[in-house]
Amino acid sequence: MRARGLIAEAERLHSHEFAAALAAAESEMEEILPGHASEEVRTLLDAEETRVNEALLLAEILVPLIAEKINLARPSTEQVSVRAPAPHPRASARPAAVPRHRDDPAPSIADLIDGMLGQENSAH
Amino acid sequence: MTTATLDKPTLSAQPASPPPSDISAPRQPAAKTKIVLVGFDFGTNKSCLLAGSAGSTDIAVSKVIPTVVGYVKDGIVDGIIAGNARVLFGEDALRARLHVKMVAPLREGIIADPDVARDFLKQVRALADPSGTAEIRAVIGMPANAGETARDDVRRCAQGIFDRVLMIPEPFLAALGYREDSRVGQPNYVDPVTNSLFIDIGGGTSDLCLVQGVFPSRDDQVSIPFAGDAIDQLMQEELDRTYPNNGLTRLRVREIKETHAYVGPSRKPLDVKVILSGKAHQLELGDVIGRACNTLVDKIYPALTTLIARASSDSVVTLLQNIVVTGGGSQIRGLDTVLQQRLIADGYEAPKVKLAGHDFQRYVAIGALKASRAARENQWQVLLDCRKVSAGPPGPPSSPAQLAAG
Repeated sequence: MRARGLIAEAERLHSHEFAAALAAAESEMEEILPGHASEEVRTLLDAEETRVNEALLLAEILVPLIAEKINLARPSTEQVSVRAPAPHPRASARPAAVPRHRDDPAPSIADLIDGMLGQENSAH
Repeated sequence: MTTATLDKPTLSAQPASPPPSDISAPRQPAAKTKIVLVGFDFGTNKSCLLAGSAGSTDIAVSKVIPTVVGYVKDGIVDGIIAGNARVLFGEDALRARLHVKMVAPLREGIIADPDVARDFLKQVRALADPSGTAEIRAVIGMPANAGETARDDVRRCAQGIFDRVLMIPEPFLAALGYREDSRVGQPNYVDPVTNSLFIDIGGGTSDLCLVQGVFPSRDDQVSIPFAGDAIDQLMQEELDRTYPNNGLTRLRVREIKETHAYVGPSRKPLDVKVILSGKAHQLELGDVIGRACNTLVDKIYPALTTLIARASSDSVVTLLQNIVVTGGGSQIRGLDTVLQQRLIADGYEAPKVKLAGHDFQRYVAIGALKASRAARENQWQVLLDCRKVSAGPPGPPSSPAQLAAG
């Protein structure tokens, strides 16, 4: 979610639902592995974080190469712009809503929702 | 205007919903292969639900439901309540008002009782997805400028019931719902999303919103905690002064208002038949109703002119032609005329105030369903279900927002 720019939503999930789910998981594990639940959960989370970071790193290396291949393969002169993902999810942010002139033709609903989410993020 | 549940003809077959007594049954843990999109107007007095499958334009479910939950009182003889259900919703609860403890989950547009709200949302889910196995993505209407606490309350109540949600201000959704998509781009059609001012008068709040082609900022929206319920209260207070011991419940007062509401000059005499202590009486309520309803005009007019003043000089002339009143309050006779006359009297250039029309109860939900179909994958807020950790099964509320009915 952070990689997609949903920073505020990710923070909310992390501090509320995720924290509650984590507490529940630790509580259940405590019954199976008394005294080691917290450590087990932490190991699991560390492993997952490493996996995600490696996947992002791989994507960062591969995406420009793939984009280059696509550009070479396309007969059109049109340039394809593919941006590599941010090196770390926390560094990325939702793209700001594009200001629309009030005389412009009908905006798409998805763009309007983007505007709303942009406002919510700035409020946070 | 009635309190009846309106069932629009559906475009595809709709299986019967499960009995209300099943609301506490856990959902079957099954793979969610189907996505159901929901447009939901969670109103203080009436809610509107529209639902359909993702990838389809069909509307499989279309219902207007009184926003009330009825918990069956102890000691009710078997067979009195259909299916011996313990919990009833909407019209069913109102019909069984003698035998249930009626609770409204919302007050002034926001959640007043989370447990009751959850029970209501479970019923909404059951109506939208009778199989109980689909992934539910719901766009939920919120009062304009609803605070973060109010939004968090909705999110918490929806956890484990809906899978993904988006909360969008109601008057903006009304504009989306009111928009005739097939006419957008035609030279003689003024797209309400491009330049309009929406006034959505509900039960708990009156929401005004300037819609000008971008998502309205907080300054473009005004929410006033004076709407249908406040009119009911004013009427009841004056009735109690004029006719002491009249015995009229709030629900009956609301019915009287929904039948006779008007604004503008007094329409006295306006005789209303009421039954008191088993005997029929004619009460003259012209002034009681007129004074209460005209208070609404006094409350919303300053907000209306404030928002008009925010429009740019090159857009305001068209905007003045596109002021739309929707929600239950749009059924108050003369409201469009009175607002328009006030604007003219104050020197505004050729204003035109119009009523949204017969679908006034559904525009917010229509807009919400449109938004659900247009939302990008990364725009949804994912709700993780951790209720099993933090809450037990639903039961009758401990601190209910009681309805003065029955």
